[in-house]
Amino acid sequence: MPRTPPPRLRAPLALPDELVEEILLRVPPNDPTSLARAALACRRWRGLVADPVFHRRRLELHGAVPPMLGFVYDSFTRTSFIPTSSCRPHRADHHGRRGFDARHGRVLLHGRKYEDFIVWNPITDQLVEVPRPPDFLGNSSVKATVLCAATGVCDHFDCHRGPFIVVMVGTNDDLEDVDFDIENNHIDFDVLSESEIEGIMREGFRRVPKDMFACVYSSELGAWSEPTYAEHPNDHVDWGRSALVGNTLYFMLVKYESILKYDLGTRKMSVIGLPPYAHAETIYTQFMRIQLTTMEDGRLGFARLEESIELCLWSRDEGVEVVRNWYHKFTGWTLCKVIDLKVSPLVDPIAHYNSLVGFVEGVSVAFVAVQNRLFTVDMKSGLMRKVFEGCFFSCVVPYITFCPPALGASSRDDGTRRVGTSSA
Amino acid sequence: MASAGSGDEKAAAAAMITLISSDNEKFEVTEATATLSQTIRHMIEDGCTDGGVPLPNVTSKILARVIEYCKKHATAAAGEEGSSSSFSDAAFLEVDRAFLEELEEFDDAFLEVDRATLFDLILAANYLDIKGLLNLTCQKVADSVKGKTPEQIREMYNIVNDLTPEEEAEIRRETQWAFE
Repeated sequence: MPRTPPPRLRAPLALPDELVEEILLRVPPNDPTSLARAALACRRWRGLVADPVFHRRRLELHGAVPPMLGFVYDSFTRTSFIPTSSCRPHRADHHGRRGFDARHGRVLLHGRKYEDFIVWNPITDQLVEVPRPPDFLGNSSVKATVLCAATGVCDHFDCHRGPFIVVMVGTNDDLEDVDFDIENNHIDFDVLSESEIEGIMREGFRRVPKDMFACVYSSELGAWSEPTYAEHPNDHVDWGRSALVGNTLYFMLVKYESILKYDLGTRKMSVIGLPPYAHAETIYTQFMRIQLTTMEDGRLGFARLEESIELCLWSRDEGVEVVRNWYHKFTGWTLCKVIDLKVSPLVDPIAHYNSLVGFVEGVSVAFVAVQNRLFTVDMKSGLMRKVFEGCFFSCVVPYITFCPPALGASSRDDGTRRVGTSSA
Repeated sequence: MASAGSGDEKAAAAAMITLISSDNEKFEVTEATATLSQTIRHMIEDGCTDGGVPLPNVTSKILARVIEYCKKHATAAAGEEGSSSSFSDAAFLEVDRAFLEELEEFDDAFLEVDRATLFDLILAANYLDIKGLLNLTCQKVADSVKGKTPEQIREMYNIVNDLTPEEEAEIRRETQWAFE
């Protein structure tokens, strides 16, 4: 039971609750800290901020697009959280772990082995180790992402403490023993490619593409689902971030020619094609990278850096099923924006080491790394801004979430809410 | 009286309304200015503004400021209506932009008041139902808590902390990221 509050000597603020609420509603979404601190001013303010109705109204006022509170960058040996808002997670660095993806308030880290998944909530500072997925999965490539378990029905406003799922997709190979007895003609080296022979020499067996799979871990069940399988895409799953559109996840494939599509509802997988690069030679630069994203209108999109200098944003056409065949490989996509990074004084126009390392979904902002400097590029205005410096970036994952202060269940029932119009 | 929305726009614009503050001061304003207040607009529509509109919740000092705001923004609203007709060429847009900038400057200067006045303006904006003014004044207060500690917020707004130490500790624990 809360103690009897000290007698009020004067009106804390000569405004009725509804007007204090009007004020607190206007604390910007990217400043969750100020709201959390304001909630600590007194019982009445806490009651207002703790009310779910308050947060609905806040969504209505500021729009339903959650703000980017920071980003997680991966510098191979560790993952660090860099705030871009007033939010300061208690633990910012994770050594020996890499940032895989982030969504709905959670970051998916993985340890030294691909199979060690850890779900980190920077807001609550909770770390959840995910049990190892089945051993037989992903001997060829693996990618995973984390999302709210209620995706499809949740508004993801305040679900970061709730149940989550980890979706893992990947490819499997059959590992065939190689009989080096040439006379037996078991392996005909003439029909093998150079890389295949290299692989056999290195691993001692031959890889034959088998299938691709998807497997889902549920925090509620505490277990991985039975995997579902589909035809091998003749490709591998890329390391880049996934994109979520409605109830469907998209993962990049390594050749940058197509995307793996996974329907969370039906658990079915398919592959869709991407338009080819405008400049064929781009393919030979090692800094090419495609970032899948969700466009402002909710469609699937992707950003791609061409020639290391042209940032192109494509969006998927509604209702056009992309058929991956030779003739119509890229139907169903529209190039909606090209930003020439050369015009920015921040970028060395002849340096071919710019790299697209991340993308902020919903607001169309790209993360571009230029050597050890990290920039955001606004795809609407072309405005480029340096946000970090100091290391080489392999992957930047934006941390995008509403962050309503958790004020305890008790505070919602203590009768402080709207007991009168004024405490005067 | 000439009702708003009738064909005779000019007559409506020229019509004057008398507003009476709590301390009995009378303010003559145009209907265009007065109807920025939804409360007054409804009274005009109901035809109960003859003999003046008494505003027992608003002092003359605050009412004068509110009218200042409404006058400026009523002109802006009229300007918008004019330009949104068939004229949308560059010159018009340029004028619009300049006007919006001027309006922003006006709003900034308008908000240069002490906290007591600011709260009185919020109360008046709420009572008179002037959306723009309510938004402007509430945003000003919301901006003022940016980067402040709970102690500073209490100090600024004379808030008595009635949370128990246990409750306070619990909130701090649950929102640790806000206090790092």
